Amino acid sequence: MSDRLGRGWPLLLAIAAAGLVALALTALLDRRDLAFSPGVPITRVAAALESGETACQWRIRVIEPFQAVELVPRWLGGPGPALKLTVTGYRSREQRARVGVPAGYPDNRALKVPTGAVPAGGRIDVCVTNLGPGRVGIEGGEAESAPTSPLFVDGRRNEASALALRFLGEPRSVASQLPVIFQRAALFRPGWVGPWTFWALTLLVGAGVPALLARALAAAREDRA
Amino acid sequence: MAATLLLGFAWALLLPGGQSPDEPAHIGYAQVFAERLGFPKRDRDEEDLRESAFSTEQRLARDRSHQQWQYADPRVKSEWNPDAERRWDRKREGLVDADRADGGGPNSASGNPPLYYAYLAPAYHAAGAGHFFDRLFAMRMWSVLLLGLAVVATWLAAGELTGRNRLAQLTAAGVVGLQPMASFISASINPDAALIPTWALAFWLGVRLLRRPATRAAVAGLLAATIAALLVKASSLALVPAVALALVVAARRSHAQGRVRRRRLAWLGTGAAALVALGVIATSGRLGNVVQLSPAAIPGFASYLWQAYLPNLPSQTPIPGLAAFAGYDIWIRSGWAAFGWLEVQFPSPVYAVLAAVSVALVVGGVVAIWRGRFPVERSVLAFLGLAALVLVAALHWAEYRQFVDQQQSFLQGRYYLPLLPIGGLLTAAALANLPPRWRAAGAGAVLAGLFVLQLFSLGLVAVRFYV
Repeated sequence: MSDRLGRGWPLLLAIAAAGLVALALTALLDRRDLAFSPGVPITRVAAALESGETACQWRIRVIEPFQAVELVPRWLGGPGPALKLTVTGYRSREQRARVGVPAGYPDNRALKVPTGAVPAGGRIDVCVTNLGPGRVGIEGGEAESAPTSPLFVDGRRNEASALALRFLGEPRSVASQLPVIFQRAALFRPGWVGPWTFWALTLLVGAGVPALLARALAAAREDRA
Repeated sequence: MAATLLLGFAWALLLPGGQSPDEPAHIGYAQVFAERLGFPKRDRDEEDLRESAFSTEQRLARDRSHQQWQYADPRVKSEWNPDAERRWDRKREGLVDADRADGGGPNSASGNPPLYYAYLAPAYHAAGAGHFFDRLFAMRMWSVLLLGLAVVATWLAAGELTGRNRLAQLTAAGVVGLQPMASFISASINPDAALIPTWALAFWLGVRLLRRPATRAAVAGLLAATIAALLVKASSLALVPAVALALVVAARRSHAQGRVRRRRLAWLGTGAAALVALGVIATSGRLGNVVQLSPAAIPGFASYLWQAYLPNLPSQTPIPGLAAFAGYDIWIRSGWAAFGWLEVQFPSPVYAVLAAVSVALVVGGVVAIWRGRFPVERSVLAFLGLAALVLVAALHWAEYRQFVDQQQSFLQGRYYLPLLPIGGLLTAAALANLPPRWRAAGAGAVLAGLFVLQLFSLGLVAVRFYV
């Protein structure tokens, strides 16, 4: 046994295999629920709503089905008031969800609002209404970060800002999302790159690199001997 | 070597465009150099002008891939919508050749000498018939080859020191080729990628010069590697004192052996100084206030150094913006694994383990050299030690000046990556403390440990941008 270990490469392969198993286990146990996001970075209060006012982020493209909307409310001058969130088809004007959020949510923390299942496809408007009393802010960032999705606050266009919204689905393990990860990673890449490239790289790195290192180590030891 | 390149290509393709420190600015420089052999204008603090650093083509690709909103914000993912790519594709088909070449405005990378960007130009043109991302990723994959060169140079340096002990060579080269931060930076468009191989070459050629009879070719090789490093980045000025030391030691030895006359030595010295001066002039755009040395600043600098590595003393005035234990962040966090715009990091306990392993390997290496288990001549120790010391001191001095002038930190672990070959040699030396029959197992553990760290680093990046 110690002679085999002394050769180095069996130990290398054993540690590499343990690492691969650990990575696979981590990917199986790590469950994530982000379906998609328009990608607005949080830099400011994008909409400060007086009692009764509504902020609507229009024309959000639904690229994956979702079950909840996440927003970040900010208390303005007192505890956050009750809110109402609605999801409406942009063209059809069909209401897909209408949810009340009671007062008492924390300040400046992500707030998950369940909407029920909304299928992928088309565009939606997401509106947040302050049911009062008191003011509330909704966090967001620069309007340019969501160029095809304008923000309206109480019917008036807000040219400067966009709401930072995230759309959440059923929590799924990272491992089960590998196909979609590779599809996403293949976007904005050279023409010859597709999801297949990342499958091939996974195989080459996972199996090829340890094999190459073990071979080099065995050769180095033989050379020394 | 093949393992290094394979991992490098995985990094290059997995990481979205623009998602490594300052990559958009370096892409802008590379494009204007490749398109019209031009240089970007000197940087200015005017937001509107900064847009002109990028070509129309680069700005379109950046905006449509949602690139700039992802910088350092883990909540914002890469663009996942295939329709967005299709819309960009339609739009970019309307671009003309001039839309590639109209960048070159004020650029934060403009102070860098051109060698790295010149190195990228063949890859840019090889993919010239394609679109922006064809050329960007061709340059990235071409950049990965530089890490392969660093691996070879470190392998040769270890061979020079150990009389071609293959196990030591493999260990030293493996540390350089498998360190995750080195892979990440080498797979990005960033001149730091070219610092690692040019410094590694200078280390190998310097060690060779100090251990063998000096020849013209050996001196010319060392000078060429040094000048190449100077033409990559101004921080390579820190290499000059060590190279000068190696040249002086080699010259004295040759003179003592009667192989070189005094007059010829003077000519050689003048020629070497002139060549290095050229390199210094090429890097001068980046020097700025760094060269403002004054004895009055020494107490402030000493206080800054103390605060960077140790808890503040009651008598010290805290330096605004300097993080507690900044040295740990620099050497361990951003030296080992901080990806994207440094926002992609492991949980803190991982860095504690990396710190313990790093300290063990460095201490083990020093002990092995001290006790003669890994023999290294004093001149070689002085050469490598001086290079490391001057780089560390110079970068800290530059950061101190930045704190004085702008109350801003700038030092990151990647700036110390040129010292990675020394880290590889110390690791190989540390294994010499093991009984001979266990050394291969030790090397196997080091290489496998780095491989596992690479796996988790790639996984971390995948989750950051795509989940």
